Amino acid sequence: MGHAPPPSHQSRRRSWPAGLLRVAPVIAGAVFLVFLVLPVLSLLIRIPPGELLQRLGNPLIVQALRLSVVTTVAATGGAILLGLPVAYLLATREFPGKRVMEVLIDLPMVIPPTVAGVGLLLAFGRAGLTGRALAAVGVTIPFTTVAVVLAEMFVAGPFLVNTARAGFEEVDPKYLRAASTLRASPGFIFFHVVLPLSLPSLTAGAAMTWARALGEFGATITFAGNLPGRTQTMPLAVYVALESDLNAAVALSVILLLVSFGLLLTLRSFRISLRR
Amino acid sequence: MTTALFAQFAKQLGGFDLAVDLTVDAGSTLVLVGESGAGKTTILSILAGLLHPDRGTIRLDGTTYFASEEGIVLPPDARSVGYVFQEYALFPHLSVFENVAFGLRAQALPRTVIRTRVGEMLAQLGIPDLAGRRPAGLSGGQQQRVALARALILRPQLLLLDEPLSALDLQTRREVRTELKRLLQALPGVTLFVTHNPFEAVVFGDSISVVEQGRITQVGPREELLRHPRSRYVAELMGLNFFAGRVARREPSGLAEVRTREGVVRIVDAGEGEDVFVAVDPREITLHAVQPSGTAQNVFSGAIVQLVPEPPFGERVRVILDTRPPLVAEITAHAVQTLGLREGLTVFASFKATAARGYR
Repeated sequence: MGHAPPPSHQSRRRSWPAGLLRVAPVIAGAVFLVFLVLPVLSLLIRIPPGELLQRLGNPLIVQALRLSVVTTVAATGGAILLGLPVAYLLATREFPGKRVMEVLIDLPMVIPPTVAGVGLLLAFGRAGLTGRALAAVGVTIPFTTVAVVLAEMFVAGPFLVNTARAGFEEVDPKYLRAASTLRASPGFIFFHVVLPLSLPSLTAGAAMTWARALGEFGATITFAGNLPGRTQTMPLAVYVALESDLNAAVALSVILLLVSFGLLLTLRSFRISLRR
Repeated sequence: MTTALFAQFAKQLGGFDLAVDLTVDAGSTLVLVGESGAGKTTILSILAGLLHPDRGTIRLDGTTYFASEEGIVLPPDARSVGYVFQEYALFPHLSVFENVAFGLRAQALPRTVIRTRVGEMLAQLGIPDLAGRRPAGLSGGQQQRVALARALILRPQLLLLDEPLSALDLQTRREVRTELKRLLQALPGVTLFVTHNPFEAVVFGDSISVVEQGRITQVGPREELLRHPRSRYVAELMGLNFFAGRVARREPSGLAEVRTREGVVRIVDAGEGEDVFVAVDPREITLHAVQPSGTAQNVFSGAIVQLVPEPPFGERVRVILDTRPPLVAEITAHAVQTLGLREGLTVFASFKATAARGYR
């Protein structure tokens, strides 16, 4: 009668790649995870918590930390102020040159930050396009705290525009139609319907922008220099400390790391709570 | 009565051209009935100002909302139009109170005025206890009431309802129907009610417009539509047998023989003229297993194509027949059993000439 073929070499040969396929992703995943976690872990175990707290009192660190907070908040605020209208325009309108505008906005995310810094220097520097005019009215930007803010805004701004735009696009147009039949003006609709409904995306966008600004290095050092108290932000301080005092560099790094971790965690739980 | 809404416009759409001509009196409800995709929602959007026609005129209570000749286009927020959307579109981030208050807040009315008017409106619709709830937690019937309250609080001269009952389950629909009917009857302005359901059309419409492929193919008081459909589509909506034909022979008794494309029917004469429409109520048609010998002037034989029990309980059954002309009879489930009817069986169908109304 119908006899099943005996288990052959062929079927066994067919079975081992299947097994490998099942195991390979697990192994690869584990390796990658270790690769990601190892540097973080190394930073964390290098300095005991007591010493870390002690170093937090170091005036150089305090200075850098304060400067970072001030400049990144200013840069994020500036990006929101100027970026939200752009994001809304891109989300709701079609106009000639829209594709070019999109590419221009994405550009700062892909060009090397040092190149961005050189560009900023040529634009706002003393010999630059606008620098002469600015100098005439007594404004100098390069190598000042304002330059730090501009560098951070330049590099991090696109994150805000892109996330906010996605958020605006996600708002179901039926709510906008409903609002306009309730005799709400476009401005009222923006502030009472569009903004609250896209709030999760806007918050995420602002946080991403802020995080990117916090990590900014290349554009800042090129355009704003490395002056303690004026332009030396946390990442710059880490770089400088690395050459003189490794433990100071590690302490600064751990602080940045904890801030980033806390930010991501808050963001996650915030989004989950909003989705409920 | 004064004409409150006058709308005459045309718009080119993807599949067909929309051509609309409406006049509605103040205080009355016009139902737009038609299949989905016929352009009903587009008509509402145009009246609300969310879309613009290619040309035409829209006037409400003497105010011109749109006039292509004069270049007048009023934006939605400048029109006195309330719109209840098909899925209600309640703002998910606002409470019921804030949803209803939205239109008043957009007018920047004083807080106390808003509180009073929203309170009154919620009370009028019987939902004062929902004020603090979010739309996501509400039942379909509750959401519908909130949507109505939100639209009515601005006291619009024109209220647009897009399939207001279709998002509800059957049970709720029955409950809400009576209430909604009473509410609409009390409104001073014009109400436009869109539905694909002929039953709702008859319940809600003081007058009914039938929309087919972007055109209004028949308009009139509901009695007129029920009794005298002028197209197969309307007749099917109303559940009637329908024939269009020419009078072939007139008898002195007042009867006439009408020749239709599908066969000959004897009717009570409609008077002068050759072209005539004939409607026959399916309940007037009797079925027989053998050739009947009675007084009915119309007897046809044919096979049963399908037996369709009528909702809600299937006590009545629609029998679709392959006769010439094709007929639909509606008989009791009991009769189906006694006659032993089943699909494929050949039967005789008869109706009196007096049951076949001729009109033009």
